[in-house]
Amino acid sequence: MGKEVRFGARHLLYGLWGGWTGVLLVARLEIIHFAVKAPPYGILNYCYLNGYPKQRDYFWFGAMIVGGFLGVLITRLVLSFLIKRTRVQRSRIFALAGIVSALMASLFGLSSIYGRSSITLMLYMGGVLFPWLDGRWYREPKSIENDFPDKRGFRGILCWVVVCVLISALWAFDAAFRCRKLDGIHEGSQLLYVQGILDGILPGVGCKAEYGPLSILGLYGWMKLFGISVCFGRLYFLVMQALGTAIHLALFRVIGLNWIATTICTLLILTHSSITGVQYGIVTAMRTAMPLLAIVIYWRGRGGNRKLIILSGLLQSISLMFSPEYGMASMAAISAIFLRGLYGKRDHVNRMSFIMWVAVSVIGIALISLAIYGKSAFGSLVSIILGSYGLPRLLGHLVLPFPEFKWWTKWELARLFTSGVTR
Amino acid sequence: MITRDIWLIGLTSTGMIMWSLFGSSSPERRSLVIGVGIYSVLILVPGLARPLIQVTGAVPASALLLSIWLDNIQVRGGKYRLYSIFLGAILLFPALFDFATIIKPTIDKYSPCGWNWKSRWDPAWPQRLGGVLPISIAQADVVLAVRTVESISKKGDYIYVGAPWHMHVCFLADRHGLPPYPTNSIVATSSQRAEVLASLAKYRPSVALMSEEGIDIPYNVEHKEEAEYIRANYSLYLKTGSLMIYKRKEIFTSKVKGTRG
Repeated sequence: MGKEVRFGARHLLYGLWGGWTGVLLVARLEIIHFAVKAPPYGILNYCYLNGYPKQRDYFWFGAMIVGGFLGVLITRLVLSFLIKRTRVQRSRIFALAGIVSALMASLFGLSSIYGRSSITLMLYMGGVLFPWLDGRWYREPKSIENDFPDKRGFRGILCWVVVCVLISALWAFDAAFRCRKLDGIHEGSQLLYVQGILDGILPGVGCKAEYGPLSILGLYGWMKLFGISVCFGRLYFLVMQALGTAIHLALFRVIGLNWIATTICTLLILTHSSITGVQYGIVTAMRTAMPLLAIVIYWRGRGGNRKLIILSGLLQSISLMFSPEYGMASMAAISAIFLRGLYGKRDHVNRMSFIMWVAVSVIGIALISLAIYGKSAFGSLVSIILGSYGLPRLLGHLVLPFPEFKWWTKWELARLFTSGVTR
Repeated sequence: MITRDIWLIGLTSTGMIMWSLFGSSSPERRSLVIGVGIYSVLILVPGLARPLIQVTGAVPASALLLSIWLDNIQVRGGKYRLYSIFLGAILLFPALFDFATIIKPTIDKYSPCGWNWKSRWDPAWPQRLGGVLPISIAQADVVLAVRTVESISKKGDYIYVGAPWHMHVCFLADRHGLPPYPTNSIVATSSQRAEVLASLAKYRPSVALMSEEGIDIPYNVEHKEEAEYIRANYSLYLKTGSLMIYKRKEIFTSKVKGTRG
């Protein structure tokens, strides 16, 4: 009997590195060219008018993702082929040579000048081949049965939620919100929709909507409750940003196990999310928090916990009616969780849970539509889906060129290391 | 910062999906990693198309993936700990690298200008500001613009909004944008522009707010047909900053009232 293929973290990182660096080096060769094409349906954008082929951005980004997948798949295939034949313990020098070659190839590949040199290609080949000559490469990695002990108490999570709300509120609070400039595009457009509802024009019926109807109705309801003014509109955006961020932070505690992970991820969210910038008129934190919450709750309840499945379905329907593009992304994610459970080993899967989740989501959408639009619910829903602004955006409206990777070119470390390399 | 974030989020999400598919990750959380990874990559698409603040939407999902990866520090020992710390450092690096830049707006939120707003509040300003100072991004005199729109249109009138940086004027003047596209920032295709032209002909709004600035490209370039219609049927009534207020010709009786800004 041959050895069982045990794919470890080292193989995974190696496969990813091999795929990504390979794509980077192919991109550096500049053998693939893109023509500037007019967007369809008469859409005009900055890229087209300035002769920038936007499809280049999508292509190379997609190529990097596919390259990572291919790198890992090829590594797995080669490993399964060689593991039956490798018996001799080789010199440890191969592992070191492989790591050094791989690192140097990546560094050179990032440089616009040295990415195309033959030395970079040789280093890449060395990085790809050397590890296979090392006997340790074929050892079985450590494996664990379950690294997610379910030890979270309800009281502990509740306390953490309170802490998250406090942190988010403190971070989102803007003492100077009354003297911020009036943002005609983001803030102004939302206020314009509120004005429409005040005049009896519902987004989806009387006019086309930019986001889902719940997004604007939430703002309308808040302003109706507290006062129709820019001031209360801004308070709504602050509250939504803070609540959305609090949900993100709470999820780390529900999913994560240790305080290092929680601290690092909290820092990332607080510094690299929309809550950091002062901008009224968008509720990005809440738009992404609700679908993410729906995903995590479905995952926890996928074994048959009906309460969690119903809650996830309701959150899913609210997400779709709040922000269709985010809701659709979470639909794809939950479907992937179900399929992984269906075809994966040792995963709790319950087909009825998924069917129930789909049913609750559909019923939720229907109820929300009926509550908002009454008799014209179906037509409005079709208008929201087919007339969604997301479609022209995907087709090229308001697209911008992908910014250069200046972090690297600014430093130009590669130039220092490779001063003797000819182009 | 944005470029780095896009690459980090996209590539690490892919890595996490592959780790979950082929790696020796916990069976319990494999499906969650795949689900959140797919969500993270899909949410990144709007950021890829328009690499501005849209990128931030994908940060929480990728941070959740990072949280799962970093659990290896506790659960596993030895080299797994090294791998985890290495990846964690790579992902945290942008946050620390830009910390000074990123933290500035947050500190700025606590600046004292928010506390003495009452002393600067003028009762003559539009009530719908609710205490917010009328400072416009596009340097237009907001109060003058609102009062002008109020004076040359009636409550319930539609206003054509061809000035994306000045949409708040309509709300402050208690007027609604022209249906079916109250904001012209979502008018993208030629058929949608034709719909706007038909609506202009149908509802004949008394006032049009115009500006030469568009969101990314000049308004006259992207919305050539509407701009020509407005020039043919409306006359300039007031210009303040980049905002131009046009009034429909058939009800226009006097010359241009003034120019400001």
